Amino acid sequence: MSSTVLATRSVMLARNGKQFAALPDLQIGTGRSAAIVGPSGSGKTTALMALSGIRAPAQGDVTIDQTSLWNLSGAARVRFRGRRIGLVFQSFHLIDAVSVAANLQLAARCAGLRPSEVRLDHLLHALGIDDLRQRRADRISHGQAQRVAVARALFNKPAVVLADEPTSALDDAAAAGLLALLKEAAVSEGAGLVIATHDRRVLGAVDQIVEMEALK
Amino acid sequence: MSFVALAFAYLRRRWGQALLSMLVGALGVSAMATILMGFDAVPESARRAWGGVDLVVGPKGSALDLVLCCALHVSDPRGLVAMKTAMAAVHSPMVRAAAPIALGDNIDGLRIMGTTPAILDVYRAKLAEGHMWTDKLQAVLGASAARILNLKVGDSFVGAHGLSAGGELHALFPYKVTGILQPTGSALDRLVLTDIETVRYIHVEQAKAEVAERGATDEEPGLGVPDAATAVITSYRSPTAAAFMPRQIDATDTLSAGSPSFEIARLESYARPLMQAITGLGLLLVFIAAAGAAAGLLSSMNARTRDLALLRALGANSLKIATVAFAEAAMIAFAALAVGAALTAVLMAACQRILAEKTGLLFTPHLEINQIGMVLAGTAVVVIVAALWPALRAANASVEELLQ
Repeated sequence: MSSTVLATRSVMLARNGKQFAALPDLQIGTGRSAAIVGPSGSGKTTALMALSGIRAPAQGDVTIDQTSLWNLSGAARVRFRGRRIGLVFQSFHLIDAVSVAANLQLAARCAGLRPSEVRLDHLLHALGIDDLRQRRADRISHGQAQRVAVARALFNKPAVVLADEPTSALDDAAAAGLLALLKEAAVSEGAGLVIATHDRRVLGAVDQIVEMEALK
Repeated sequence: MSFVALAFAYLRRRWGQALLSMLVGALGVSAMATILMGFDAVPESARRAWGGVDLVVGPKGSALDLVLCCALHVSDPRGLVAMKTAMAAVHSPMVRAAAPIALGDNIDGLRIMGTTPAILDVYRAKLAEGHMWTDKLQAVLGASAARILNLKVGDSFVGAHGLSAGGELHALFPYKVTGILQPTGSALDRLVLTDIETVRYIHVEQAKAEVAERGATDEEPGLGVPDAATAVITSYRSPTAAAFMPRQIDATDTLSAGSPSFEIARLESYARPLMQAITGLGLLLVFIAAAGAAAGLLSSMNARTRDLALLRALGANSLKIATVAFAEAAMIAFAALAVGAALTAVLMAACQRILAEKTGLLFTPHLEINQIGMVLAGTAVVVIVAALWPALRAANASVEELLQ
């Protein structure tokens, strides 16, 4: 039986001061996955911001790892995000100026943690990118960058991994590969996985699907 | 990978711009340090060079010329004085020691100075070995002169006409070294001393030999004339002499007096506006470097908005993000400081060598602790000024951009 790592309750989202969408209540356990779906402009990304502590919801509560995210102070929330939430962005956003290893180590530094060499070795090996360790991030392929982005999201042993449109620019094979990678990594690391997407290919790969509700 | 290492990685990515900022900064630092050091070191080296000489009495003319020629030994004499008249003018209970000097010959560019043993009292100099001259064509070497010429007591050498190397050799009149002086730190160390009568003797005999050989001589009567001297140098017994003696001497028809301390202070006051202008230029360079570094940082921070937002998304607080900007500015500034210091050291070493070669002045520039503190504090201010705005921009990077 998996324990709950992420739960939302009555989350309403606002844009320009006006509520425009509601996120159905969501509960995810360790190693489980969910997709937040909806067409463009439906509020998926805004929902992901609320789940990651970046932008406050108009109302409602987000609990991650038994911590009410929006009850934390700003600084504490930033630190909490660094330590307990792993983020995978649509275009991965690696830091080009430094190596693959440094990209992972910076995730720990940002969260105020000491980067563990053992953890680095483990993740690079688990994701099959050990040979890229010292390669600069702007000198790796798109597929390799995906793996590095996933490894970085997992580096601080987060309670939950949030991914924003990770498959949008990928062909079917690559999308399936990345979804499998994200799910495997989340399961093996005991994290919950939430994917915000409008890509229907994701739906068969996750345990739970929630659709954004537009407010009239 | 620390945030400082990340800043270094960013610097490496824009190395051309960083190098330019660093070089401009280094020039500014070097200009400032050179001024700070030179401002003190040049007068200090002059003070050391004139040693115990309080007053130079020579022919009518510029007092500064007299000091430069006969106390610092960096310029040529402008004429001659009657030795007895000049000695009489400085005969006073307020004068501790006085010696006539006659300049006309050199050995390898080092001046051969005809004088009397009283010169040792003027400079408070002592023999390190040997003895003073007891006859014509004997010489006592200053400590540096002995080392440069590689001569020791008992060795012989031949002087040449004029005060610069390359003059006609007085081959018929070899000197014998009878003594070497202890170092004094003054211009005396680079002089070759001999009896003033020896200088007259050589010039008279050289003229006779040339007349016998070619029926004419190139020798000017100058120092060959009995009683002629280039100047008389004196050391005061009482500082009150400085108030009276130069004025008394200047009032005579044939003599002028030059006080090294007064003339160098006057020279310093003339040079001060120039020094201030160069200091201003140095400050301007530092300002341009800071502005360049700030503009460079700002543009690189703009180019890195997404990276900085990413760091925020990964949990970095504002301080950590600002650290990246400050570390970049600090690296440029401290590299500029190091390169500027190295450049200054090279410049100073070159000045030291050129001054020593051309004038014999011992130029030993150095920075006082408070001046070093000023340079470091100035560098810190430049870092803060250059990095503040880029750091504020970086610290406020929006994470939302990553998810747009």
